[in-house]
Amino acid sequence: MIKAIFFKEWLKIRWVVFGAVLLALGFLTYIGLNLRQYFKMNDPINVWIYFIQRKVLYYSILKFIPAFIAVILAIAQFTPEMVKKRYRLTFHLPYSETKSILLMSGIGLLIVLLVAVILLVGLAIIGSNYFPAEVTYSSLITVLPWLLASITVYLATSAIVLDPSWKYRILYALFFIPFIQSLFLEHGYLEYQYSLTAYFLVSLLFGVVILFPGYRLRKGSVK
Amino acid sequence: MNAKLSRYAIVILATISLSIFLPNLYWMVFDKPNRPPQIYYSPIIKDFLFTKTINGNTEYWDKQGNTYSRKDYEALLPFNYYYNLDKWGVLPDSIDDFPVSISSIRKNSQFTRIRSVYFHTPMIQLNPLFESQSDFVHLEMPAELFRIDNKIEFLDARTNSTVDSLSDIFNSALTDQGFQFPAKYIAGNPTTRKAFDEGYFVIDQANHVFHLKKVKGQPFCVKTDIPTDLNIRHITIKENPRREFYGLLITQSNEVYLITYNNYQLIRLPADGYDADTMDLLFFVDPIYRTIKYSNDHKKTCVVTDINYNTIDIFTAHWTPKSKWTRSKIAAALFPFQVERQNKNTDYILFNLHYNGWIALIGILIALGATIIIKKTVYKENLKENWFDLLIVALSGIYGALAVLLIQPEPWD
Amino acid sequence: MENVIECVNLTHSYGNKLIYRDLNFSVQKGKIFGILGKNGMGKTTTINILMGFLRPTSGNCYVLGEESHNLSPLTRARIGLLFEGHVCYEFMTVAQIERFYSRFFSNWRRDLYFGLIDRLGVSYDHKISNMSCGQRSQVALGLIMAQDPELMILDDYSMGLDAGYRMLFIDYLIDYVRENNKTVFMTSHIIQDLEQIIDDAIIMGRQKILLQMPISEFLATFHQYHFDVEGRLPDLTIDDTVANWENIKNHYTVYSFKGEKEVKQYLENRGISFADFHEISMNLEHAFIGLTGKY
Repeated sequence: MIKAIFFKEWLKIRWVVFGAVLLALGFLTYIGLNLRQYFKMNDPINVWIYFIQRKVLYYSILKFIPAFIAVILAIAQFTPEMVKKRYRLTFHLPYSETKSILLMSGIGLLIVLLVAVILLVGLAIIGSNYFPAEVTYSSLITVLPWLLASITVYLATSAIVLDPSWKYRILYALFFIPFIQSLFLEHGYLEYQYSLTAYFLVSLLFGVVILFPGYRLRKGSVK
Repeated sequence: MNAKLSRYAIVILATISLSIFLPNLYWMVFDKPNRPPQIYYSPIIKDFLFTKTINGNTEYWDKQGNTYSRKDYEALLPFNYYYNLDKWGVLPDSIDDFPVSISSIRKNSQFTRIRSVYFHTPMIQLNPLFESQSDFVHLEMPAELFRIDNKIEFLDARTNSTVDSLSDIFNSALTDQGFQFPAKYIAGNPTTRKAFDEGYFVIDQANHVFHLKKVKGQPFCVKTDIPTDLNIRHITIKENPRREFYGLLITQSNEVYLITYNNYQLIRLPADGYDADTMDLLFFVDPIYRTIKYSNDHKKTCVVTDINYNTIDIFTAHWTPKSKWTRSKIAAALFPFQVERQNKNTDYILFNLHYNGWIALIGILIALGATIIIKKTVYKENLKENWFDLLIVALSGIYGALAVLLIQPEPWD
Repeated sequence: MENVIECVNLTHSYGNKLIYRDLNFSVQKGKIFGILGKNGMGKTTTINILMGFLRPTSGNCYVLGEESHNLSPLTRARIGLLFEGHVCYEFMTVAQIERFYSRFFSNWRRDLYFGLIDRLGVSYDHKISNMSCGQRSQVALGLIMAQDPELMILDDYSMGLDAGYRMLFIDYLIDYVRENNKTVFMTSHIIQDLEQIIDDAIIMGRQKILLQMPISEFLATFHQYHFDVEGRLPDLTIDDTVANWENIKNHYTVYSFKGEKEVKQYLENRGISFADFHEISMNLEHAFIGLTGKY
């Protein structure tokens, strides 16, 4: 049964997954080419100094990409369930509704994590090619809040799509955005060093957020 | 059961989001400027002068309460406004036996600032070691940056690889001087926009402070006599042609020292009540005085000394801190806590819960009452079943109340 | 006889709009039970309540012995559910959807599904979203049959189907149900196809049940009488005798469960003089419309 649900989710999101991987690789390529150009046109030491002392992030173009992919993924995965009320098919399957919702969002999370891993590996390769280890390391740590944001954005969007009422959808958006926005506040590198754990712990709450709208959908809540 | 837990997760997230958003919104509407007066010490009247701009009008006055026009005020501060005084032809010939001219003032002035944010900012410690006795006038960027931890290593930016020959030379120079790796701290002024270079001050494992430079391509390394029990927190290096001191040194206990060119001897600056974590410190040198100013959001101290650092006068201005404003108290009564994500003393992003104290009970009780009434009369909920909602409101006041009232419980199966 | 479905005092309203009040009915094992009614009378609402997708305002339903708003996965496995409009995972192909569903049911009867598909003559990698409504209805039916459920719940199977596919659907269904002794609960707004197959039915009108009896009994006892009124044209009231009535000028039609004699007596008692009184026979559809009204 788990395999079957995997199969269904895969059919819904395969093109998004394909597009997300392409997008991630595309942006990584862009960052790499951009850096190559920097080093070609300037004295390499000045490029180093620029990125270290001015704290300019050569990968800042990635900032909202994981979150963007997460939104598209959640929509691609859960809108087909809402259209023609197809969720009734899913909920009628002889499989626990809770497990089935958690499994669906777990599958989406795997894709979000896949994108995160691609970006981290890509940044590690690009960084180690052009920069001392300290800079590469800082890039991997600095993107972590953005990647954490992509996880919360995915779970938040899923909950918003899945709720049966527009009133609640808007409330969820209002209630989730200030926290998620807190993960995009940095100006330079490594600025979440001391708070990322706290943000991560709060983000864990997003792990079960989808069950409430799922329940409202399953039981036909009228509120 | 799962859905019930999920609702609480949503409610708690909403509470956190509201504790970020609502106080921000409140202060967006109700904040007002909270700037202290500028404080200067006049070498003419030998007393403190003040200036402040409110609503675009600048006022000038002294400790006795005399007010001045802008021109009269600037005339009392020749070391600050010498260009203007010179233009008006009123620059005095001498002040306290110091022959005054634009060039003599410029030659004998210096300014250093240490902001609280310097103590709370991420910085990758990869620095350029400049040639400090170059044949050329301007400093030039070397081809390498160096790191210093378990050893010193130079990295060539052109190849992104270590330059072992250079690293070896400097490693032996440091070791010869008794440097014990790994290095604990490094401070320098890694810019070419300065008149000359004094390299870096590095603290080793045994708390000895070393001075490291590159002279004619070779290492220059001195183990200084700066005490090892000083608990150094920060060093700011700022090369100045006066060559009186390399820079300022701050200890963990907020003592401020100058590192002088006289064999690295330290001079302690009078800065009682200075707190590096929350205050910005300014240090001025002019031809006849030294001035140390440090301030936070409710207090500003200005200490004036002679050129031998003997205190002449001290003035501390106090004003109402933001936390004592009526509107802050209203905010505290309204909001039991807020999440602080950023503040001016740090570059780091925070997630700090600030509790507003007992006064918040007012808001909590109102929120709790409103929640109970609405749940009972409008929603007709069973309060006993939803006791956890009330607990959330009791802990978070208005935030929790909004959350539990807007995200209503379902009939649970 | 064991009741597969049992609804007690079921009341539902959307906000202030009452759909029905105190609905009571039960479906016995092995029977084909129909809820007939025009659109908007609460047929789909009833199915949503039975399947737990809607919480009734009050009252209780039990399906296969479980409370309908909390059906366990095991019980759901015993219920084949056809949604209004033959909704299914249209992003799958004919073969993919079979592969998907087969994992959930232990008695999966692949042969039944592909038997039906083969008749349609569509290839297995045909995407369902590209199929016609009629083809899709066969896929949906094939899936339910392959599931081999004890109870089949079919919500307006006829929606969007032309006469041919409706007949095909019914033929397959009847064949399957009779052979395997299934219980069927179905709704429809088109009634003539059901004439021969429904054992028991309720006909829903606005906010209430108009009728609950076996179809054959309904047909045998429900009459249509025509007569011309002479003189002043009377307004009739709906009561025990007059189930429904209509007139065009002085030509009156009265629908009634009473015999010709009683109706005549009824009219005479009210001082209505009539002529050319005769009964007109009806098929089920005609009777259905007679009972529920044309509007």
